[in-house]
Amino acid sequence: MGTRTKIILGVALAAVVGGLYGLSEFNREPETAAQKKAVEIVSATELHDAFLSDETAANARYVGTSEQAIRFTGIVRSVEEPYGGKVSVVLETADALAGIVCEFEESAVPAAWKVGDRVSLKGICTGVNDLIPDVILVRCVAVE
Amino acid sequence: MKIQNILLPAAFLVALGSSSTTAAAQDRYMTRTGHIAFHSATSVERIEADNHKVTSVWDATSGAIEFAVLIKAFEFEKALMQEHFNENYMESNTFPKAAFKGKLTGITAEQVKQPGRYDVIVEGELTIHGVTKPMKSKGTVVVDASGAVKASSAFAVKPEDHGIKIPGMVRKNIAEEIQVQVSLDYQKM
Repeated sequence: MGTRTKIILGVALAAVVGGLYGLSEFNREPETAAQKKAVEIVSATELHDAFLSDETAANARYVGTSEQAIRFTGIVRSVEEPYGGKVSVVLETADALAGIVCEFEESAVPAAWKVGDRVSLKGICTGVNDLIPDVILVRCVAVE
Repeated sequence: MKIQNILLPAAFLVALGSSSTTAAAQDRYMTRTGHIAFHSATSVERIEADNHKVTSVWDATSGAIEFAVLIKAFEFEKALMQEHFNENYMESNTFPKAAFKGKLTGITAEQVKQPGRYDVIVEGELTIHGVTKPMKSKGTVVVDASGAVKASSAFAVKPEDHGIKIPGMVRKNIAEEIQVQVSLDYQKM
């Protein structure tokens, strides 16, 4: 095989590998919390308190500059009606109105969970909302 | 956390506590599971995202309406789109929230208690990417027989109006106007 042929084959191979990588990147789905290692382990109350006392610091710690999962425990306040294939489980905080709102794929919510249960889960924290200061976590999964 | 973020919920709790004695409190509605969807459709690419965690409070007596949105709670089908949305365009680490504050007209507090479909106008200030612009849109409020109240509206937003810079290389991939749909299932406070 001549040098020229080797170069052409090398370039073609690089193009194919690059193209396949680009395609897989383009089609990559967002990771659930199950696919991420938890960077923090806290209680739902501690998590909510952290956002109420210093939102900037809590954003830096729990939201991060790129997506990260946190693991936490709490008491179920409510399991909301499904919407668009998703279900929100709201955990108790010291605030009677605001909660830790954990969005699951509908199929990922354990059927046994009910109001008052102490549960453990992992989720991707997106911050604390305004108007009703819920801390919002998405792509949550239950943890045994 | 900003002071108003603490004071507002406190005010709502006061309203909740006095809801049995004041007509005004009975006419307030809220949701924490509002839905905002947006899409950009071009010949090159279709981009869609959903956020089901919109908070909103509406006072049917005064017409005052607000909603708040966490930018990182928008969910995309593809991770790369979501990363570009947060990091390159919305800069969600710097501008983590969007908000609307304004007035809803075309329905009275009494009408909200009667089943029906009402054409409304919503007008106010929309803050995205740290830039506030006036916004006016048509909408609909539907009250069903059970008393459930659903409000919806659709409008278009130009990224450049809110200081969102889109590089020339990908400008054809993203529509000049992003179509936004808002759906809010209100509960009485």
